Amino acid sequence: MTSKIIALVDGSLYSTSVCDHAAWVSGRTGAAVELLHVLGRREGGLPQDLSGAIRLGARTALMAELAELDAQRAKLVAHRGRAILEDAHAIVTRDGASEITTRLRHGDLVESVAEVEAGADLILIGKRGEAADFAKGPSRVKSGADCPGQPQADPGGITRLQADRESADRL
Amino acid sequence: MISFDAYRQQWFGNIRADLLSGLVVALALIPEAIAFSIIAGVDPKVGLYASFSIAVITAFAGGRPGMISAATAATAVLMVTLVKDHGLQYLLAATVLAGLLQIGMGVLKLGFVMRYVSRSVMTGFVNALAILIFMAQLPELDPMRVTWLTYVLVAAGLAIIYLFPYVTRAIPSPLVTISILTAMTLTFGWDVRTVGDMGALPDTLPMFLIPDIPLTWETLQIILPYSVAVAVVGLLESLMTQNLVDELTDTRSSRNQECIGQGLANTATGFIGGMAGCAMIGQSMINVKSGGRGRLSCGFAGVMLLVFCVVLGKWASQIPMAALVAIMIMVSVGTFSWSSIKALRTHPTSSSVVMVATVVAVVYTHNLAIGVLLGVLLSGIFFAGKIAQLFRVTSTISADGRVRTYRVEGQMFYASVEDFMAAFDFKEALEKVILDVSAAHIWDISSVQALDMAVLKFRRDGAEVEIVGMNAASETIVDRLAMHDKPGAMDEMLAH
Repeated sequence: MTSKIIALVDGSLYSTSVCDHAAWVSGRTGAAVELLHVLGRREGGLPQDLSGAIRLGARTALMAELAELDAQRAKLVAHRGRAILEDAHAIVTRDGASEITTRLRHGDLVESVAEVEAGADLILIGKRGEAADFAKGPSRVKSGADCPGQPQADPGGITRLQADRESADRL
Repeated sequence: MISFDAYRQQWFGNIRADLLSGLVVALALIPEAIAFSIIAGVDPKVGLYASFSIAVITAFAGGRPGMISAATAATAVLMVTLVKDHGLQYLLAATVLAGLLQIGMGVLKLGFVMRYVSRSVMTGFVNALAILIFMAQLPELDPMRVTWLTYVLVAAGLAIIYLFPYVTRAIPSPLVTISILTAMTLTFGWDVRTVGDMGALPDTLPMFLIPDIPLTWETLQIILPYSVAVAVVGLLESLMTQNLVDELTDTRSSRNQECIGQGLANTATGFIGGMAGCAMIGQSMINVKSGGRGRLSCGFAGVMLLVFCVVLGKWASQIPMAALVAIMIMVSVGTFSWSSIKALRTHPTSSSVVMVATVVAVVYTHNLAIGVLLGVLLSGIFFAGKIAQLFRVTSTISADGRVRTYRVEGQMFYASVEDFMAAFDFKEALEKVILDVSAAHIWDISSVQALDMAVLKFRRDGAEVEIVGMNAASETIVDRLAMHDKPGAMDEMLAH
């Protein structure tokens, strides 16, 4: 089985570094690189309607309203997400990695990593991202991820999560 | 189980909006809790304590962040006769037992049975609930008991509720209704029924108490039927509301955890003198609409409800019943699925029959569980009837007229047995009959017996019978079609 590296990118300063590291590891081991961008939770920007009144057809109207809001927001962030992934793809290609796939997912960062980590030998994540509350990201991902080993912050601002000891040695 | 981190996120991921919507919900919960206590025939404080405790406990232990649970109409209507015949203490005991039953159902992971409750049944449930809430307001609108002034106040209340949002959406319009109607009643000294006339309001924080009932077999016999009904109806409404909130927010949540959460809430509520409750469709919609998404909104709503009641209890007793009636009519109208009426013309008759039957059964019995049971049964029968149409028998006769081959195709089960037997011409004198069932699925014992009977009948008439393809056809008769571990089994099954 070919090994796989998952690199989490979000278009921040550290994304470039994550891509460089991913390409470097891939170049030495021949592992496939999967670039992952997680579109955050659907929060904030909700309309404030505190009237507390529900009228006939309220359910349908509310459903339509929320779906429309989500759709608008999703289109916007997905568009941006694609652009981020394309940039990352270009960097990793330039650095010489061969097998590259990109993946865009909706949802929570921690949950998304938990969902995709099964096939990965190494997960790369930047120390800090675009979103302000993302500062705790690596430790949150680490505590959520199913893998032993300490995240290592190196000068590139990269946290590595070894999927398991064996693959860590192999890498 | 979710991680601690995700759980914390469910509490504090949306603080500002959750607090605001929690406040709106608390204000809307007070009149509802009072109204539902009156439905059940107990003091308003029983419903208010219940709403506090259920809201707070489900906020911690429930499965669906953003959903509001409290004392509800669905459970209140079930307990009317219990209170009337045996008193409040039996209601409290029944509440505790209902909670324990719900925990049991959650532990046994019975949340999956919801998949057998079809969309039509759910719509029927919601509509029936709306009608029940509305009907519960009728005593307050009885011309024999109230004066004309009540009608004016109710109309004014409804006007404020529906029109005030056009002025501003920053203040809950039910609150404005209550404030204005109460102020006017007090100012002009109108003689109308008030909340204070309906019984005691909470003046202290709730206290732990053990229901004062004899712990005998007889007591259990009295409360068990009520507890079962409350547990079932409570979970049905909760899981349905959970589904609704899942859909509205486009997220998933754990049903079994919700069952356990509801159970814990009811068990604890019985011990502080509250009545059983469950998730509320109308309130959950108000919460989502106001921006509430996390556990915080439900928990905060519960706490604020109690604070308002204890601090403002003196004022709450002055609220005219007309204001509550207006709010409950709003809740009833908002809960009713208007689109289901329009859909009656376009949906298949069987779906409409299921929906209407569910509503009628509930309104007649005042028991949502009976309506849902009827709806689920009807859905099952209609479905069986539809699938039974996927069945035909064709036959060919050999050139010499001595051998006939019957080819059975489609679904063979109890509902298609009659068609199966009618398809054979037993009067025909044959030497040999070939029954080709290789293109049929035999689903149950009824069809096996029908096949046996057909074979027997042909033999009696002197024909030799050969059955072809029995192995393939009878693969479906086991209770679990073990297809998941055999790659390609699904294709094979659908092919023949």
